[in-house]
Amino acid sequence: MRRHENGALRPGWEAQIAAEGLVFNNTLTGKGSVSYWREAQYYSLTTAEVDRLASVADTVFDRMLVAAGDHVIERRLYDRLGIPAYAVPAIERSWNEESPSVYGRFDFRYGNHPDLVADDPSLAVPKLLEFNADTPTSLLETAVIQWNWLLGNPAAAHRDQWNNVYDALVAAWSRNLSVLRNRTGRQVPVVHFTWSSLDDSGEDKFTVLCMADAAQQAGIEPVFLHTEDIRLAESDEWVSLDGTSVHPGRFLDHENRPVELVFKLYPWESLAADPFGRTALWNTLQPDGTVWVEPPYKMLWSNKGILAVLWEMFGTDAELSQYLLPTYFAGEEPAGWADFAEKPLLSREGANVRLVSGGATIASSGGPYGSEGMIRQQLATLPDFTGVDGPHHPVLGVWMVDGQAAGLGIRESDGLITDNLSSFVPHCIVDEGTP
Amino acid sequence: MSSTDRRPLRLRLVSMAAAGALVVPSLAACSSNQGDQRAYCVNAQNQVVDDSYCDQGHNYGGGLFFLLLASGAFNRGAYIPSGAYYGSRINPADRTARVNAGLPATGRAAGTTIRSGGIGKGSGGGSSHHGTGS
Repeated sequence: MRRHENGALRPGWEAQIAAEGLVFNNTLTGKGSVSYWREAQYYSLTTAEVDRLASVADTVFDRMLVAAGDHVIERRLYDRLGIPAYAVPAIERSWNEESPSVYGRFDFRYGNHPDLVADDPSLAVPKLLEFNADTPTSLLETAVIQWNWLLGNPAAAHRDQWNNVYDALVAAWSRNLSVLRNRTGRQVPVVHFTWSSLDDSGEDKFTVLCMADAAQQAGIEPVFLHTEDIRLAESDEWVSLDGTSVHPGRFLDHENRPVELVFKLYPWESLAADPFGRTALWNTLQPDGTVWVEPPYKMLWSNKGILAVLWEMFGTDAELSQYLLPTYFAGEEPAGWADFAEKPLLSREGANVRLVSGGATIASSGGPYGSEGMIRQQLATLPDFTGVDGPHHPVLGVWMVDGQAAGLGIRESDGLITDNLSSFVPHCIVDEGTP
Repeated sequence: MSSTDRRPLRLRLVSMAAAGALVVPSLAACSSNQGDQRAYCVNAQNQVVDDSYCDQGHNYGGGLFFLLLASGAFNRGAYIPSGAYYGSRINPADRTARVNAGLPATGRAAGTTIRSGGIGKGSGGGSSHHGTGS
């Protein structure tokens, strides 16, 4: 794996990526406007490295996360994950029914460069940092922008890229709808695609549009809606839901059409806490209830507590443990542990993360999370692919589409915490010995 | 490593939106939300009667009682003024009209409240301040 700085600037590249949907490329910072997209820099991996990443991602998914989900449900570890009791029936129902699920993104630490591995051999093995299972973004950048970069940038001429994401999404929508229709008999004439109206950058909107485009290719008619415009037709009766009471209700769109199947770019833990959350969870249990993509069980996998569960289950497994970092719920780590990354259970985009080395904080980020609980993950600083402009710490995002590794998106940061100011860097495949 | 033909990927929906040619309804963003609506059971004078008069047990109003969606709280006996209700009175036996109004096709409909604004960062429940993705 290498980082290159000899990419060309495609003529009109900024206008091109905006036309392709990356309308949120420029971020205003204290240093002025910064481009999120890297046009002239890129990473390369060998075919063997890509095969390894894909194999590890599939292994983590098939042999570890599925078992971890069963483990949490069988032992009812919901309190440990900060999951409210009223969400449990919906989680368990969607898990047992294998409700429609389209995508997720693993973030791996990996840096298989000879110089880096000489200093830290563990960089030769992909290690799971977290699983963005519910609302992963950078989808458009991965599936579309970097693919078109590959075809248009002379630096990558005739190269290949690990990128089957879009085609896999088309197939995933087709398969999931077919399974749902066969299982329930519901026809689902339209699918609603939703994001919050408070997304002023366009990132959420264009991520959802990318997803909807793939669904449309699968023969699905998309309808677009802000989450805030989802209507609830609510009875004034009360029904019981695992220790609490809710008003039964059905969800409608702005034209009073039933919302039968909805893709939401909005986290389940937020939705569950929203005013309609309890009714939404109750509603998923009804035969004609709204089917949400991603499903409620993603509350198990997107929760960073799952990393502690994985370590508890597989930390002594000679083969599988190599893909994990030792992780514990905060306060349960071994005595004297002084090198760790502390992460809130529900943190997103690197918020409220604290890196501790030798007992001292070496980096931290602000944000609204943390009161829900924390995990402590063994400190494994990201590799540094230093460039002419300073350090670059990549995180490798492996896209899982319909449960299979489908492509790679790389974000890099100047600092050790990959946050919402990180940059997206395209990649291509360059095998040893090829020019 | 890709099954996509070596052709640029042009997403129609994305391109249209980037060019401003795809308009997404945005009631929340432009604050044109109609607010909560409750289905009342009323008589021909728009006077609120007991919800049960519009139920199956009362032959879905028997042509004498109707469903009316209105904003605001009205007790039994109150007259719902024009300006407080939406659309026209609905025959409780008319399944299509009920569904079009957002009410259940059958069963009890009076007492149903239709609301929006209860999911999302604008609902007061979401906690992320810079995007909902991860």
